[in-house]
Amino acid sequence: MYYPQLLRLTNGLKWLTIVLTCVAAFFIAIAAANGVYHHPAHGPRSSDDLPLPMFFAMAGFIASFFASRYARTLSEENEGHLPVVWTKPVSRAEYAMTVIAADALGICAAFGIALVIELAFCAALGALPFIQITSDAGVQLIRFLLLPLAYYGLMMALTASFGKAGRGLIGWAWCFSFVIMLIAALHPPKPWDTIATLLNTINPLAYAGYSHTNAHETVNIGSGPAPTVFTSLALGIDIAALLVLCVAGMAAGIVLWRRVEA
Amino acid sequence: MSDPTTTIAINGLTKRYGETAAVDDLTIAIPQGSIFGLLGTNGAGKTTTFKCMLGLARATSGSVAFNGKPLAPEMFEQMSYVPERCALYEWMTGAEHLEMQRRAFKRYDPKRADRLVDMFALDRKKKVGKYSKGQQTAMALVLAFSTHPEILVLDEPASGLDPVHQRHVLDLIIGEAASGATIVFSSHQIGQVERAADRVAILHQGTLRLAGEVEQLKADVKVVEAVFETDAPSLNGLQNDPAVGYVQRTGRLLRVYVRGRGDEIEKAIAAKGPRSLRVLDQNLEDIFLSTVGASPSNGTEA
Repeated sequence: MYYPQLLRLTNGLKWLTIVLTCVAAFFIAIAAANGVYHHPAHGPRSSDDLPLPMFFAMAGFIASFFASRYARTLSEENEGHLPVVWTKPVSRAEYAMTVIAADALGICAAFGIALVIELAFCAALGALPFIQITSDAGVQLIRFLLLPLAYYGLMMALTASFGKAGRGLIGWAWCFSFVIMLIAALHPPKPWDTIATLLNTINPLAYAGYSHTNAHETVNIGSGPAPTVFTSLALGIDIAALLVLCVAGMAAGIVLWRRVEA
Repeated sequence: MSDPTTTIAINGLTKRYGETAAVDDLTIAIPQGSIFGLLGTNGAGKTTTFKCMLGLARATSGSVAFNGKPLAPEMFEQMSYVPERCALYEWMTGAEHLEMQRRAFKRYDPKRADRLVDMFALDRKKKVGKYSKGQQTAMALVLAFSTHPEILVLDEPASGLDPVHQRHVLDLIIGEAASGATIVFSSHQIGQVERAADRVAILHQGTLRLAGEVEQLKADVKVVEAVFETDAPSLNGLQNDPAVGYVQRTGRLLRVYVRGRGDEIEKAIAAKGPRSLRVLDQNLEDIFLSTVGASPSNGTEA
């Protein structure tokens, strides 16, 4: 039933692997040219230099961009393919759910590919021994795996009723996501601060900041703690919020898509 | 209670877009094993009718039943649809489309699909986006016929095809109906419809204007053509007779298009003393044009 989607996903994963490998190779080449490749350790470093969740966060953001491309799955079918899709011996909801399941697996695979290439990059630079598996690594893994799925759900809900217009919506959704995070971080006067905070409740980025401080430096991925709106909330709340965005978005997407008839 | 021989029953189907009725109160019964041609000018409502039949458009009112039951997803295992515009994936190859069909339909017959691909001389490795319009139509037909459907809905199935392949399509349609399939198709090439269809319906501006068996329609519809010494005389209300489709006057020439009761109309016109009078048979194209083409501005009267 979802063969075209399997082709789209395998093609997307292939290109993701190629692009990330090229980027990693480029930086390894630069590092090697500057001698870092052969001298990975600049003097003694503490054992918590590179927390593993930092890699999850980076993989989560990469997978989020990948997910936004596939969040248009149903919207793409609206671009003239409904006579093919809707004349298969399966209900529309079942078709949509099958496609979403395939996409979800693809997004997890993208996360995995990004993570493996990140770790391979570290290994090439001899930095692998400095990676520390922190106590919250498991929870952070779930959180950053849910980040692309939340983007996927949200963008699917936004685009499922549209055809080509869905492409533009994806781009605007990303801009919107960053802009409202920025506005919230700047703490503008009310009511803008309140509006930005409210809008951030449906912004996956608001639940995905990561910060880690070691003896030498502070590592910030995404927003970092300062701009994150819900810093006081526990990781569990972040996970729950991302899960709700993911499931509610997908469900809304299916409901809207089923009713696209002319 | 529905007729057991009726495969597709359309009852009072209406589809409105705002104030415009694309299809207005359409009722048609299509028997099992028949080839049903849906004729109409552009915008007559043919494609909308197909879309409403298959659930691709939501009907404003009315119903469609297949073998007495409303449309359900599992019915598509026995149905195929070829839309007017290519709905295939441009980025996928012909072979990938065949694989898509194989995975989706239990009834998919790979041998038949291969034969059809060869018949239409399609390149399996080529992306569908690189196919010509005719080749895209041909690929859609290959997919449609590859599952041995019991019901086929074909919207302009010969669109863009060369004459050789158009003939192949007609042969396929006729062959499939001979195997018991029920086929509904539309075409602007009325000669093809006349050759393949055993029944037709003519839609005009969303309403059903004429329907029936092709041979019966041809037997019923006649043109009484009279030439008078001077300008054609008044018909004294004859044009209001339900049997009169429309009347065309060109100077001394009078043509009256008649449905049924041709003899009576012929006698009524003969009584007006024409110099010559003859009754002409009609082909399907004439019937179609006389059904949709009446226009007082062209020297005709309803």
